[in-house]
Amino acid sequence: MSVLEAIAQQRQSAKYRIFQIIKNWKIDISIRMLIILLFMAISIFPFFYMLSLSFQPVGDILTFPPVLIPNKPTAVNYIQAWQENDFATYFINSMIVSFGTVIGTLIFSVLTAYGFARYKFRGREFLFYLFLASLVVPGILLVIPQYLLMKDFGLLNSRRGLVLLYISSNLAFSIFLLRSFFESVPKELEEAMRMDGVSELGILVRLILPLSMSSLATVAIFTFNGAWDEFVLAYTMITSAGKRTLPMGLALFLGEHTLAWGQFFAASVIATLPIVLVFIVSQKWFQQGISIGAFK
Amino acid sequence: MATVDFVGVTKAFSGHVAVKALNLHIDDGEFMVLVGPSGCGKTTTLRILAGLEEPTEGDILIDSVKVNGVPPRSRDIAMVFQSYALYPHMTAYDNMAFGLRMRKVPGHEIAKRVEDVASLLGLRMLLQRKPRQLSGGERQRVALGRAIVRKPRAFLLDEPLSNLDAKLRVQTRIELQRLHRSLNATFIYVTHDQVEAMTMGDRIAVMNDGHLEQVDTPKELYDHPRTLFVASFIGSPSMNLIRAKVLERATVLIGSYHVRLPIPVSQNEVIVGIRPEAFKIGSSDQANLEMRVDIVETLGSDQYVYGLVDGESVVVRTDPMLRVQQGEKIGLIVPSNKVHVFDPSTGRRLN
Repeated sequence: MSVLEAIAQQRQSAKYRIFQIIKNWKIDISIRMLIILLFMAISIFPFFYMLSLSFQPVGDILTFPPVLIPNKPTAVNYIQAWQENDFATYFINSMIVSFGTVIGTLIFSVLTAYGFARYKFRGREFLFYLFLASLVVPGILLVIPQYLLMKDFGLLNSRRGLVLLYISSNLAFSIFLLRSFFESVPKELEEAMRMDGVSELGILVRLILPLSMSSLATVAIFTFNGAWDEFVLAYTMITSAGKRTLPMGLALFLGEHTLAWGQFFAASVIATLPIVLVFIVSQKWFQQGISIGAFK
Repeated sequence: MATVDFVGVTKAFSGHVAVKALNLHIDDGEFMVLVGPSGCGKTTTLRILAGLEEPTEGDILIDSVKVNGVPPRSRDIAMVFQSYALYPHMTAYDNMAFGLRMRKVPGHEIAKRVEDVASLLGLRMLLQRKPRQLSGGERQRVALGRAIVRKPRAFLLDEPLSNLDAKLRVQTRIELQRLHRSLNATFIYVTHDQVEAMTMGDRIAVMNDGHLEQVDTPKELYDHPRTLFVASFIGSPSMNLIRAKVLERATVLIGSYHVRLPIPVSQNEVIVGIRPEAFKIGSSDQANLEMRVDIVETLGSDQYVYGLVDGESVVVRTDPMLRVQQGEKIGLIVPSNKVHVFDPSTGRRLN
């Protein structure tokens, strides 16, 4: 039979008819929206719940059924959390370590990635894939070797040591990310710069970096997040109370002082604020980067 | 303003020789065009002069001073790239000022130069825009401005018109020629478009596969091409090139027709070159050749008739008033002084 006849016959079948009905009801789209909203709710809920609990007095927190919107919101948890246990110190320590990590990672990964991107040397690809391969190793496995290494350097129980460890664990990914971006900068731009009389380092600083803002912002966010949240290495390396970072400080709420939930939640919320701030600032960087790179 | 010399310049990349023993002299203030098909080595030659590549062999001289190994910024030449290579994160003003800032030119001098050049190129209103906010033609002018502002000894232009639409291309061609006259500078211009080459160049260097085929004025190249390649490359539609057997001395056999050669030749076979406009249309008793018409292209001011002369493809330029139809037979007269003769094995011109 001809094509037209075949199509006509198909149109008669019941299956096709039902399919058409469903399509017209737009069930498809609404199911998708529903699923998205569901996942959103699941993701946000823990944070929202924690936020709500942080504003409730201790007594209310453990009631059942759980209360989502506090009846008598109070800031007492926040005040107590900040004042007790040298929380401010931990906060500052985390800031120092995290910003140090971001700066160090940016400097080293930019220079290394530029080297990989622009200079040909023997063993370049091998070295690069070696860096990438290191990403396969789970961080936990390296805790003991890293501990021994820091011991040999005399950097145990120091924030400097922590910063070095964090930088080294972030390098591989950052280099990978930056190299591909650097390679996407058209060579003619660099040549134009050379003709204008710019040195190689100048080309990096004046051309590549401004154009890489979005990638740099990505590296900054990932690095900051990783450093701010890091618990295992910090817990292993830092032994004196004055040098503790925030994750360790948070853990204390649940360890030494039996389950101070309210303060714990308040402290956790405080702990998320710098990340949110960094994210917002990096977003601007990121967007700037995208609009700068829009013309190529 | 400078003279440029290429002395025995060869450039080899791994497995491929891009430029082969090039010898070329460019006069001060000349508009020299390097033309040839893709891969002929013209861009490589330009880049060697710019200092972005080093020659494998040979010397580059600017104003009779050897500049091999001298970095681009010290050669005092400016380049306009095919893709313009404008710095995307800087305004048009900054793009033009950048080179001067790098050379530590004082701020007020920079401002003056940029303003002057911007006026010259009609960019005054656009100076604060970023490249992505400019049209193709505007970007090209900023790229030009960036070069002009540096007051270099020579300007190197790498296919600057290829990214423009046809109309803009014609306009900009004229502007570039005016610019060349007013700046009185040495321009070295690379293109694959022979029309650009013919209209703009004081002299044209035709390159093919790394070799310099011929360097001459446009008229000379057109009237006396020295090789088969130049003959077929210059002129559009291309010169008709027909292989023909040589009969007693100065006559050849094209198909079944006899054509006189301008000079006697010793070869058995030659390649005869006749430009489309060289033919005259005549009646069958006057004509040397008879052509069966295949396709007629009317361009308004010209008419090109494509057809076959005993199996050989031929194109003839005729008066647009002449009416011809497919399948018709027309007579062609070949004035022997307009015939070019080439040796089929070497490709070299014989007359």
